Amino acid sequence: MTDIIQVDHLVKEYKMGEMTVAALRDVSFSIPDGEFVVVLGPSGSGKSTVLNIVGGIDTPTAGRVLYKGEDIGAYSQRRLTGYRKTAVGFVFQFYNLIQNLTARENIDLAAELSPDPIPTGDLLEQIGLGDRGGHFPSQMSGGQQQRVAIARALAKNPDLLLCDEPTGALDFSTGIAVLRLLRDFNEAYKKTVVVITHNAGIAEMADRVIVVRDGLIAKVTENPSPCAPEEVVW
Amino acid sequence: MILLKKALRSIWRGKRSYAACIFLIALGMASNIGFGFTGTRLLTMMDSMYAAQDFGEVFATVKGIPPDAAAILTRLEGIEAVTARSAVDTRVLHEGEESQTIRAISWDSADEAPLNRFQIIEGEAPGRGEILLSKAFATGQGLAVGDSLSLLRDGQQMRPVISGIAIAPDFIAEDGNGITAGYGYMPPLEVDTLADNGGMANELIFRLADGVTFGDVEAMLEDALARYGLTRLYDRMDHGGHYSAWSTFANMSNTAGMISGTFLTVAILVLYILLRRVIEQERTQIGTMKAFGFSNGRILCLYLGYGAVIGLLGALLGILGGLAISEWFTATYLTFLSMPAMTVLPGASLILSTLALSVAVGLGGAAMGARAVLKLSPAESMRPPAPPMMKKKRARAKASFLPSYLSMALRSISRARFRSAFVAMGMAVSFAILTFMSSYGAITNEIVMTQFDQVQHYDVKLAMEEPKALAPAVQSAVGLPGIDGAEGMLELPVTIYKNHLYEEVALTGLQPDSRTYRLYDSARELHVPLPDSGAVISRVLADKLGAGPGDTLTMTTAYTGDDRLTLTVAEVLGENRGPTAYMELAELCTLLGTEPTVNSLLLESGDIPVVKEKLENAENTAALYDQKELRATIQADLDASLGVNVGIFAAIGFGIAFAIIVSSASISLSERSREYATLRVLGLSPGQVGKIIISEYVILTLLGFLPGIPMAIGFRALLMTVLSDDPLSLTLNIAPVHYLVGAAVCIATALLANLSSIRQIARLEMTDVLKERE
Repeated sequence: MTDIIQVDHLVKEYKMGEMTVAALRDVSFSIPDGEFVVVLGPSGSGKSTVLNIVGGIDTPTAGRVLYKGEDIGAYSQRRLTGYRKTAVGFVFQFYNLIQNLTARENIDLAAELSPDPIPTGDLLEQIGLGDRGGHFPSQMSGGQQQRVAIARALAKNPDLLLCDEPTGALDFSTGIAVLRLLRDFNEAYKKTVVVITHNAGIAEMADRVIVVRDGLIAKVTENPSPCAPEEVVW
Repeated sequence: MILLKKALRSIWRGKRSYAACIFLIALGMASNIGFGFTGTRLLTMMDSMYAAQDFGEVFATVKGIPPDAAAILTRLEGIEAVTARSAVDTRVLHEGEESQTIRAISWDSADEAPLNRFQIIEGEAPGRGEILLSKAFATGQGLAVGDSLSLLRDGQQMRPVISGIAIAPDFIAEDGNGITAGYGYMPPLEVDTLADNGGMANELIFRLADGVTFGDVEAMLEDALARYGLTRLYDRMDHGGHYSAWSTFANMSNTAGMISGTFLTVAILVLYILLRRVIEQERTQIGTMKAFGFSNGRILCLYLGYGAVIGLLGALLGILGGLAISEWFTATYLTFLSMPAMTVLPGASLILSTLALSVAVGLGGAAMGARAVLKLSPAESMRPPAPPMMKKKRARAKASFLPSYLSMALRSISRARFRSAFVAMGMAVSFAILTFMSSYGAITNEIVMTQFDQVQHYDVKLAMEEPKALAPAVQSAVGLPGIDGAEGMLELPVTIYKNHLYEEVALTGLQPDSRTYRLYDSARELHVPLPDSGAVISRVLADKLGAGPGDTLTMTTAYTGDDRLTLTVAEVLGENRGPTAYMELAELCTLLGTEPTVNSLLLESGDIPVVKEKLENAENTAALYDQKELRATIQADLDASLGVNVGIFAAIGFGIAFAIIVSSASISLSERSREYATLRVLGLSPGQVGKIIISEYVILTLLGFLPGIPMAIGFRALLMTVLSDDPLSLTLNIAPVHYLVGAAVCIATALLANLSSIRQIARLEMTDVLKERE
């Protein structure tokens, strides 16, 4: 299987006054196309920084991120925007839905960007909210909002779905439903899904687990027989 | 499309703040159209009237020219048409009322196309024994077609019947409010009899050929008319009626620019602050959109759309409001202008330019506020902004001795320094405008009270047709029943020179130790005795000529021709009139080379009606001025003319203050709803929370007074410059009461604008607000 993402000696430092804080010190790994990958690590380990750089919304201090063999660091701003527009879909811990757009409009907003979107109606049905498309985020529960956020990310039909703690704000059963949705997307559309989490239980359902600790890769393991989302326990 | 929906919903959510901004833009556009379009339509009506009545382009007055000689002036190159007519000022007696004057103008019915024609609005053209009256005079004096008037001049008396009422370019700016001088058209023979001119014309009106200017024919006409005693040759712009109307209309454009500019500048700043706050609040949304692949340009366009929508709504409201204001202004002006009404529709260019300007203002303010979008990196915008470094100890130490609500108000001010500074400056401008306008509104009292209470102590002023020797004039007056005392006065139009500088002024000769006319220095608030020798000149004249006590000036008068007479400045008088000068009567007459002579008598009387009845028909009476009536008339005129301006500017001051506070309070409320909800949860009532907010705005209002004071003085200095050529002048001093008026209105506005905030705090859903993510 070819690698859709290659991370090569990635370093990210933040200047805080006179201090320099290293979020990533030397990180290298690969993500094969079509896999369900979990990046696991405690809070502050640098996993969100990795996700942001891979997603093209942050830039590394050193090192490279290759998308299908191309260094996204060499992209112009215009091309980087295009990369985010067509190649990547984001799911955030706190959903980040546009509060004054309905569920359907939030999904349509993303679909508008893609040359090959997945129909919004299909997605709403898939996430089980076919009858809630006209509701605003404030009229929905957290789990429903996260499902809309996933549908919004999927609507662009991206190659790569990057999810930052997608179950972090949800209760257990709602979290499981969200994981099922991500797994279904991974299997149905053969798309790569990367889930960032501090929850070790979720690693059980991954094809590959990348453990990050103190800005370094502690371990990369392949899981030949991942469990179903419903079997995950935390 | 979806982004447009988002923009519209965001605007709706923050409708109170955006409404304030729309209100400011609408006010700006309404004032722009209200004044500007009124000026344009009145100018159009004026031009239309000029074309219809063939208003002349060049005018001349001569001592006398035979009509035949005038007719051949069309042979001069560049002169296309000429009309010669007789005109003479006559006294009018109407049902025994006080003296009025009419300029009787000859109208030859045989002349098929005279220049300066009139337009009859009632009745018909005058025949023998008839007069066609100007509209304003007829209205002002309550005269109607069929009434008769007695005209008196040099012993000649006529009693024509009013054949009709007319308007004409000659007296386009004639105002009927308290008018005592008007115009009347009569057959030539009757005007000639009144004027005793032997059939000679004394006024010439010229129409020039296409492309010919006054400068092209001026020298030629001077040569041609010299033999007929040319006294004045001038073009249309120096025609009193035309200039008065034209300058009024043209000034409306300047007023429009100034007022709308003020509103639009404030609107841009309010929009800037609004959008900055929206960007701060929506930074996570912006980050999400960027993460999803929306370009900077597209996101920027979204926020520029806010500005465009606000500008568009402001323009639509402004256009509607402006057209309504223009209707009212035009109708108001037409009531005191002798001009026919006509329909002038706003052109597409006016509507389009208003829309374009308004949208540009919206986009400008939005662009300034939204450019932060470009700076936000996607990852950064996903996180809340880092809090600024605070010097906590100092801040706490400063606020520790204050009540908690004042401490909180001060902290709020220091937290949003830029916005606080903007509110304080907005209040400064409002305070300055309100203070200035309050003092401006008091000008009427300042002038009228000073002139009538401190200077003019006589009861009746008799203006003579011909100057008389002082002693016999006074003696004959005091011998009349009802007159308790009389003093003489000589009023001369003179030109006073100092080196290359000169000024046309009224020079007044007064009797020494005059009881009835006492010089008063408004600046020093004391009466100034008339010096035995030398002239007292007003501060305005002294400034214009650069003259001071001891300086030697020269002057010319119509009495002495081109001979320069020398006078010395004895004192400079700080009076609130324009350029004036005073001398002791005998010294002035010595300078003129005559015996003490007067052309006015200042009369003291305990029985004014008797005196007026006796003097009205006296042979040498040109006019009688009853002090009490004159005072009331001037007060009414000034109140009418200043009232509109004072009202407009007071509305501007109030509007700016209100809009700034409403928008700022609304932003503050939306940013700090969590804080206010927490206070409510802790047990504070909406009123107690409101006290914090109101304290904040009262503090900012008080801070605004500091720069507001010099601003108010600056406005007054500006007005002094504008009025420097008027017969009025002001001091820079603004009485404390006007500052108090400005301050009271500003504080009341702050309280009023925040009432809505308190209502909103009462309606805050505490649970909803507190569960929102920061």
